[in-house]
Amino acid sequence: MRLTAFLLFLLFVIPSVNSQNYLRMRQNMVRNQIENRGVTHQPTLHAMRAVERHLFVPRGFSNRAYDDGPLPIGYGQTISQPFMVAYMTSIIDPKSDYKVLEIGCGSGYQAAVLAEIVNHVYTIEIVPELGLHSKKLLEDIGYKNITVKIADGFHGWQEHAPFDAIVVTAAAEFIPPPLIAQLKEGGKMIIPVGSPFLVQNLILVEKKDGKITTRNLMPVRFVPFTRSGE
Amino acid sequence: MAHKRLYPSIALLSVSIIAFQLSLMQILNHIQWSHFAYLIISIALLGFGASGTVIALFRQWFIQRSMIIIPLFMALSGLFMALTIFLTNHILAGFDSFLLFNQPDQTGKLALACFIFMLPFFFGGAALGLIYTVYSSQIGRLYFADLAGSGLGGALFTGMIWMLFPDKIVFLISALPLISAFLASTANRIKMTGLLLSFAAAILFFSFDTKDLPVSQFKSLEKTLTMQDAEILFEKSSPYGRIHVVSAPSARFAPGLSLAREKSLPPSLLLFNNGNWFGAISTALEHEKVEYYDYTMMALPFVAGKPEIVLVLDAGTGSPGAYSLWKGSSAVTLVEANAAAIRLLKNELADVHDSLFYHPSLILKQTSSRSYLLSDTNLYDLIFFPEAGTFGGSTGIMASEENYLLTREAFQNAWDRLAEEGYLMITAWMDYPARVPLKLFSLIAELLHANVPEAPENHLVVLRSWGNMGFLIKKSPFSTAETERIFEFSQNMFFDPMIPKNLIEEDASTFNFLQDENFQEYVEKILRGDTKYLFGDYEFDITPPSDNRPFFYRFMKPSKLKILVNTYSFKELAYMEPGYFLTFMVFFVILALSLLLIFVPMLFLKIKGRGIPFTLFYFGGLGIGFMFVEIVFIQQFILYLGEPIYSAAAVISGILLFSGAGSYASSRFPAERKILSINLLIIVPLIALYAFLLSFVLQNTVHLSMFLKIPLTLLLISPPSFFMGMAFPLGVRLLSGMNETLIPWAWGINGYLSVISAVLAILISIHTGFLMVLLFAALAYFIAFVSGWLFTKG
Repeated sequence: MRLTAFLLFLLFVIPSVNSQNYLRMRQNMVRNQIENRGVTHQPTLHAMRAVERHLFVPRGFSNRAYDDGPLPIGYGQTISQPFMVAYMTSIIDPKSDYKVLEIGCGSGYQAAVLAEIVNHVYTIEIVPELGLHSKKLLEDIGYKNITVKIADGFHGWQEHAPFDAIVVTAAAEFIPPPLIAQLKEGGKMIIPVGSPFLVQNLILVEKKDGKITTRNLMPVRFVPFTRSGE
Repeated sequence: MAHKRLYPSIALLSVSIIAFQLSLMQILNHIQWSHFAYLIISIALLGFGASGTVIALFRQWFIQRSMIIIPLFMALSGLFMALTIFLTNHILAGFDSFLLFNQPDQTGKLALACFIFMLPFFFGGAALGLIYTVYSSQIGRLYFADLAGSGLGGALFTGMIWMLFPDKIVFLISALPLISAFLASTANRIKMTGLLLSFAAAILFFSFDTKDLPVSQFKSLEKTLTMQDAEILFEKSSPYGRIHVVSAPSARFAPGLSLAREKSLPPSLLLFNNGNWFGAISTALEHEKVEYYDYTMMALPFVAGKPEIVLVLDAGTGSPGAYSLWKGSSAVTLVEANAAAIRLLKNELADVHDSLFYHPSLILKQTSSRSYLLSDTNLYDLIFFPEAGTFGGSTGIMASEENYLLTREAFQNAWDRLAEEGYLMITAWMDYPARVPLKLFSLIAELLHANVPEAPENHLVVLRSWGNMGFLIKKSPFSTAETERIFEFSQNMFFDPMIPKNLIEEDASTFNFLQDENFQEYVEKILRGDTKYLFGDYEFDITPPSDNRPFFYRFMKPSKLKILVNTYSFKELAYMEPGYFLTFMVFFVILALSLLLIFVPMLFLKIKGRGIPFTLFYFGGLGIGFMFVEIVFIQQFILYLGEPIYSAAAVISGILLFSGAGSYASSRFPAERKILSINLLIIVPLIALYAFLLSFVLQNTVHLSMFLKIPLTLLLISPPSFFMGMAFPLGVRLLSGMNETLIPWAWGINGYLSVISAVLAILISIHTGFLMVLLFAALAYFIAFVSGWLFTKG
């Protein structure tokens, strides 16, 4: 009897305590790291509260999943800092009927956050091991509106184009021409530039009236140059 | 009296220690980054100093058993060289210097690595230190064997690295200390032979370990290899690093491509050096190889004019050269220092490259770009500089690396090589906060103010894309037709004109919006020369670098550190400019360890008698002075001779051999206070003279042929090296007459301060320049002189 009680305790109570802890950590993360830094886009905040980030980090990093920073996920890749994920999501202003393309699925976390808001997320990963792992994880969690493909993100995903928004999480020294072509008129593409462990800068690409413009968003705190002596 | 076999024994041990040090440097450069290699090697070299401390602590015990211990330590040095590689494969797997500030457990692995790498140096240093202690009266000849062996070790490594990977070289050279031990052994030779054979068997066993070296997952090569169907086609060892040629169907190369480009891009073969990006070769056919450059900043000079004679500096895989030929240029000169990469491009990859390097209109010069600019007398219609900065702004890793192509003197050299209507083209990646483009602007503005002060803005066009900037400088003013063509190009490519102001038409679109709205204002201020407050107030150092302080990628300013830490956090800053902070970190770690280990013998030994101040200041002064001079000579002569690897080998070997000759000659003089002082009184003014005259002599003879420059180099190196080589053995002999118990301590102090000063020289030079390092070297020798004069009376 005692043994049964103990096993029941192990089975139900401990995971519940852990999940309560993670929930609290997630709520703290959203309040301290995201809202306090100026992200007010409600669907994004809701998604960040809903997605269990600790499921997307490698075993051994679970207790640091809600830290204010990126974490390594192997193959030289990282899961982005929570703030970066939230900022990138909010800046494309996703709507419930949106079709979004993600280049660089990585851990799958960004895709999951987007999937909480939009109609469908198509995500491409070039590293087979990462892509297969994320695909299984997203299926296990129960996301029906995410499609993962192991492929070269350079070509985009012509069959499902055009996209309302494109999120490029694995930036290169150039923006692939097919991605520009697959962006819907009036659509937005967001690209983080810089190493995840360094100061990262975001570039927003917009396609409007046949013209393509970019905007450096620089979501980092930076004390502006002071003009003493003037 | 030292037996004759001891001289070749010492020389062989020194050959292996230097070759091991260079191999380790190459291995760590390959599996991690150069800053990490630098950190490990500096700490490992403390093994030399630590050996002096241990001998000082157990001096009598060691001397009584020196016949056994000297060969034993030599053999252990060899055994641990081989074991180091074996342990690196097995223990260091999972270590990544990139995660050092992110994962606390990485610090433990780093400490373990430092300890493992220290052991061969400790045992080698202990064997040498004990020999100098036991045979102090013959120190001149023994030290000569040591220095000559070190010189030969460098040369041997440079030859071997073309044929073998450095981890394999280590197994070969680790056998040399066993031979040294055999030569040095005089007692129990049969037992010693048995021990040496068992060590040799162990080395052989380690050499069969087939595990690959644990390369960082964050290196470009490793990341590329995770792509689908990526495979290594070639792998070559060379003194320039380990070169990999990778085929990855997904890999393409079009840095800064315009968003107006609609057509797809051809795949490329990729070249990596030490796992870092080196260059790409498009695998497309004919003009498709290069036509997409029409959509990059590289097209700018061809939009402005029709340059016929083109020079490409740091040409890499030669892309700007191929593009220039396609655009109709009649003569292209490519300058590239990496001989190993050139060999590959001219041989195994010639087909992929459509035999570009054999094109009749193309000339290939294998030398450093700056040396080429210094010695060349031709004029060019267009000079391509390599792009400045990196995509994503992670240039901080290069903060303590010299770059002689991004200095005010280099830009002036390039300007002097331009024809009357010639262009100078350079691109820079944007970074945030802005550093690289602003520093480059400062360099260009200074060049224009020096050469065309009346209207510098008429000689410069600057365009900005979504990620990079293109700077086109013209020797004569840009014509209206040229600027009109450039404006049209910028509109078609979605690039924004920044300079000249008349290009920024009010009705023109802005394509790329910057968050930092002050950027345009900074640029205009710099171009006007209105930099008095900007340079002082800006959080980062954006002043133009010079040959004396050639650290383009050092942006940290000690005076703004507090503000920057408040703005970012120390952790972020450490990632922003790791090269800078790591140099400080290494310096303080080594300083702390050295101070601890220098003063330990004083606490435990209760040293009696005279000689402590003399030992501390004299041998400390020599350690600092010698290393400072060596480092400045290496950097000055590498620039002079142009071929970095062989120049470094020639200069280091030259310094060591001439120092060895000085050491040998010192045995002919009595070890007296007067001789010691005269020698130092020659060294101090000689170094001061070199500080002011060396660069003048080099600049005025750089145009000579290599046939003349090499003897001139040796002639210039020899006088200070010779006298500096005399100082150590003279001091040891004088000390042995005063208080011979201090000799191991002197060896340790000299070792510690040599290591400290190798790092200190970098810290001084990145802040104040190399001239100051030489002046400090003269000061160090002057302190040695004063201590010799004051503390050796009677």
